[in-house]
Amino acid sequence: MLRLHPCQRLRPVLCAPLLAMLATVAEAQPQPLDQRFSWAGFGTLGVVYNDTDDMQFVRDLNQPSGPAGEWSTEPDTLLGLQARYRFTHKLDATVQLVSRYTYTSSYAPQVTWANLKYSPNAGMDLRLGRMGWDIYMLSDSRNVGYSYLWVRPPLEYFGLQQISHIDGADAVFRGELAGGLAWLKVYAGLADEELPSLGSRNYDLKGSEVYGAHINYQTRHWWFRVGYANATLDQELDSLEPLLTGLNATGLPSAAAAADELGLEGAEIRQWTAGVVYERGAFLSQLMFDHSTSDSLTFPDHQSWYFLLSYRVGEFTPYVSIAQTDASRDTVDTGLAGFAPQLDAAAQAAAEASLTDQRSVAMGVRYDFMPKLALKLQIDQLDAKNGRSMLVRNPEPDWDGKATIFSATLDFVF
Amino acid sequence: MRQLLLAIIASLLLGSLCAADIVVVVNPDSGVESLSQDDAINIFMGRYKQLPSGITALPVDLQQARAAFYQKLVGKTLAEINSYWARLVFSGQGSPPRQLTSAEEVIDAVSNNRGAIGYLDRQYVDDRVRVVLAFTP
Repeated sequence: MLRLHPCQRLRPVLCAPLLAMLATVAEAQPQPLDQRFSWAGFGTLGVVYNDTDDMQFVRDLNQPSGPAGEWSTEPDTLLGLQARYRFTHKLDATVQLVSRYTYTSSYAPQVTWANLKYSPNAGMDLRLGRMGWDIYMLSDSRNVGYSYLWVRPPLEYFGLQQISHIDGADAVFRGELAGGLAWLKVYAGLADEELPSLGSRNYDLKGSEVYGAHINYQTRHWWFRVGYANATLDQELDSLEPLLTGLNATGLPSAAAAADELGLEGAEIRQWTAGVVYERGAFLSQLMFDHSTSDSLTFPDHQSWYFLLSYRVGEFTPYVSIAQTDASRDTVDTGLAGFAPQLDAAAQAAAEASLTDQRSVAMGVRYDFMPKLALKLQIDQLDAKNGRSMLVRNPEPDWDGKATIFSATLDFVF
Repeated sequence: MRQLLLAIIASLLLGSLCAADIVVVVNPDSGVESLSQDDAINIFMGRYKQLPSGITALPVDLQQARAAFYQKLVGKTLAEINSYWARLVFSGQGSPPRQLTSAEEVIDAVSNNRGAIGYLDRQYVDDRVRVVLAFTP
């Protein structure tokens, strides 16, 4: 049964056609089990207002620009389509396309998934092809707004994850253990994405080697997970090249060592993660940690965490969420301070540029007003220490590091 | 006050009378005599699709009883169940149970497939299926 909701009464002209369309898909007939081909989709219509002119707000580091002191639909609006073909009960193929605002400065669709899955029995899944990078709990579904409470996953935690999919293979082994379910996932592959880089060509993640594993234990109300992931970057950041060349040209071993410390090419990033989810009826809570170390000062060592708390009341689910990231400070010793102070200063500036100490407090509500369609409203208070953050775009030198972000989204699946 | 109390008691009584007595059923040849609620959660939530007897579980939903069933199974609303499946479907971890539209279809599916498992109101149960889990109303 379809109820008339406030939107229909208030804005019939704007909302009615959209809702009629969504209602049609939401009420679609279930698909029979023996169907070989199936498809499904997800999407978000979102608006964001960033109250400061001093930086551009982005959803993650894949986006080149965002709103500063204005409204925008760019950060959160997206559409995803997934098609699946089942060869046998044990073998199927999946392709997923996502159109969202990314490093191409457009909504050009990207193939985020294209894999074959073989499940010989309930205890094992093997996949080959392109798949989401499952580095954190929920990270391989971070574009599916309908699947979580927030308007978007917390920036300070998920925003630092720069690779969203890998081309490779993964395997899951699962079994019952002490009244719960335990599983191990291992994966390895190559990245194939780009990251926008201020004032230069996009940073190309293509060819970066990724591998990792995580173990999980789930009971009726609890889900625990511990994981490790490793990424070795393949290419150099364009905007760093002049500095690295300058340091190496001095012929000084300490300067060459500094160039090596700053460069991204060949740098290894190691991430230890842990998460726990507690769900009981209307109550939901999530807590996750990430400890990351790297060989490059350009992607500094850091610790991140977030905590989410929510309680559903009827069709409304209010929530609060805190997320924080802190970078470890490392000075770079070029040995040039005495005779090439400008080069030394440039090296120090490069080492400082990515340091991010930032916290966000988000409060919001999700309203499940129709089947497979949810409305979310959220306010984020963002605080970046010293006004320095690599999680926002183009921060002005005089930005105080504070911003309030207002967001509203309609999230749907079909 | 007294009227209010009576009204509450009456509605509670009425509520329990009307509440569906949902039971989980399997094929009599499945080798399963009974099922724990945790097993049922693993199977219907797509976490571990295997019956305790070792055969692959094929869960089916009964459309009109979904809301009541998942409320009893995991204390969640249909919106939360849809949201949960959105994560699994779009991260390649499986697809939700096929949705059937009548108790007769559930009995047909379960009696014709050794690994099938479904749920329905107890009043429709017959000897073609075996009840392995009941929820206290």
